[in-house]
Amino acid sequence: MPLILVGIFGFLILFFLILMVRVPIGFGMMIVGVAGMSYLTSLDSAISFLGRQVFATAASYDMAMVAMFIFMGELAYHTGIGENAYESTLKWLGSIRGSLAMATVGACGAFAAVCGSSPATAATIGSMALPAMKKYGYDDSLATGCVAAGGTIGILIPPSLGFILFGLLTEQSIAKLYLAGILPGLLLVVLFMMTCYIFAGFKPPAIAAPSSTLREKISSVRGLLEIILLFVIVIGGMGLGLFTPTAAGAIGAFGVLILGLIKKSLSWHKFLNCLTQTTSTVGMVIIIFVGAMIFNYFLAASTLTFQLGKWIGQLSVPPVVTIIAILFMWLGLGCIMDAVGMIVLTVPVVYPIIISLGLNPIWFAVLGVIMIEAGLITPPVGMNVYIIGGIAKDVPLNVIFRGTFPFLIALLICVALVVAFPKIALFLPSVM
Amino acid sequence: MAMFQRICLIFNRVAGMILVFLTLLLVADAIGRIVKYPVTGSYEIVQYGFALIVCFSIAYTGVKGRHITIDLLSNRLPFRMKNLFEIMSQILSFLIFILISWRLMVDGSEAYTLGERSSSLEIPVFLFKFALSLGFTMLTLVILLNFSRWIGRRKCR
Repeated sequence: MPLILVGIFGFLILFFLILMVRVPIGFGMMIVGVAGMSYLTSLDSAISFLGRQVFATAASYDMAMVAMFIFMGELAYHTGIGENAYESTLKWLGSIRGSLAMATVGACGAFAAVCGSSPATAATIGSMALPAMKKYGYDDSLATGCVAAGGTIGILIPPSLGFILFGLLTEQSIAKLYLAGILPGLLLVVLFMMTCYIFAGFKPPAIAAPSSTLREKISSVRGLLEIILLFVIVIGGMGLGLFTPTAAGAIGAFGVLILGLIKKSLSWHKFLNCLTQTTSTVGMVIIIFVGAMIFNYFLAASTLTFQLGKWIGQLSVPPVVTIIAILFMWLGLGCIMDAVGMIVLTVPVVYPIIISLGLNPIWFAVLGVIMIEAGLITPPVGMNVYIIGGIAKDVPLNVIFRGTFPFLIALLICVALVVAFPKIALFLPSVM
Repeated sequence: MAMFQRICLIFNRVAGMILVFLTLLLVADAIGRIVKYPVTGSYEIVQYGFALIVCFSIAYTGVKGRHITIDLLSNRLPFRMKNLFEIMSQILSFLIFILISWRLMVDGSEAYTLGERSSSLEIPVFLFKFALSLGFTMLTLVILLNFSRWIGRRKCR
């Protein structure tokens, strides 16, 4: 059988295993990877590669970064560090139409600066913002939609598990990827806020939020300072090369821990919970990452990725058409898959194409992460919508999905802007 | 069963403690580097410490069912086919992890025979290969126990 056909078969079997047989994604990639490599080389060398790869992934300083940033996010989630962000943004927006929804988005953006997970961002801000919006008579679809969509910003503004996985799979600098996420993240916050403003015009809230005095506004900023300070130390220090990304994650986690202890918002029970959540997420990520590495190796051995890149490179279509095709593929996959699965499955195939087209991999990663965000709010599998559904138990899921739709459009506008003006993503990495 | 889950939870707690230790070590090292007193061998300690986190945490990830699956299509399959696929999924998962556990054990023995050590602190590498082998054996047992529970549930029906 020609090599490339073996690769295509491998992909088909993988999809069958994960979609029909319900094998976990990481397990499926390992199974197909080992089976495929046994076919292409020998059973012995496939199994010995498997053993080496498991050890190389587990005993790795770089992979330890995953644990550190997940720990930081878990601590941020459990210590309620995001509460002040919500109150502060709300004070500044005052009685503007839809201010509570806009403050929700703003708070999500701020919380994203200390947390690299979108569902955690949605859950943290949602648990404060949803009751407030209910009190002021906000339409259910606007209230739930803005939290579900706002939460997705968690993986665009650094720290971000999405960028970490992209970086580890493609050997790109995590610091550069993080810097590249900042401006598109802020752009998305603005676009989402505008969406809230327009949305609230169609479905006006029953009661306008009270406006606050300048003194109240200024004093509320104090609550935001801790997040800004932490962000500057962690991301700035990493960007300037003062410490490694792994150390940056540890400093971030330590910083949130200290803040939690000062504010007395971190009990022993919560702390243990953070540890359990972090380590079990690490277990999940490691398995899926080992699977991805083995499957990638098999794909490379089958020459599938190389041939695909070469073939697309020879097509007489402009690169932007290829990019748009990839974006649509991600939009479709995002509907059925979660973020981690989507990255590890598609990046190994798509990345060589991007390189062969001579496009910037950092810019490409930013587009990828924004498309993952879209996947978090599109039916039927929209993780953030389920999270919000769990908090706002009286709101049916279809109402939440309807609420996220305008935000999905805003998100696609953001993607279009980043495609048209790559500088939005590449400016910060180029100056630091 | 409950006993085994307890062991997995204890393992998870150990992983948590190592995580806290590594966090503190990395902070100390980062500060140390700025004042020109870095922690010797911190890179290796973090590297192998993380291997221990993985070793002690993966079984509990299995207990909690945190490994990502896609349920969208499989939920719509006919009952019999779904059962058949469930058996297939469990057997395949069992096989791949028993293979990993065995291979790590073999690699560990080789590292022991060769006297493989880390470059700066000279920590024996075989310890971590054996530890990971133990972690994956635990995960294999989790899969086996989940499977036996699943069969038990079928029989009850």
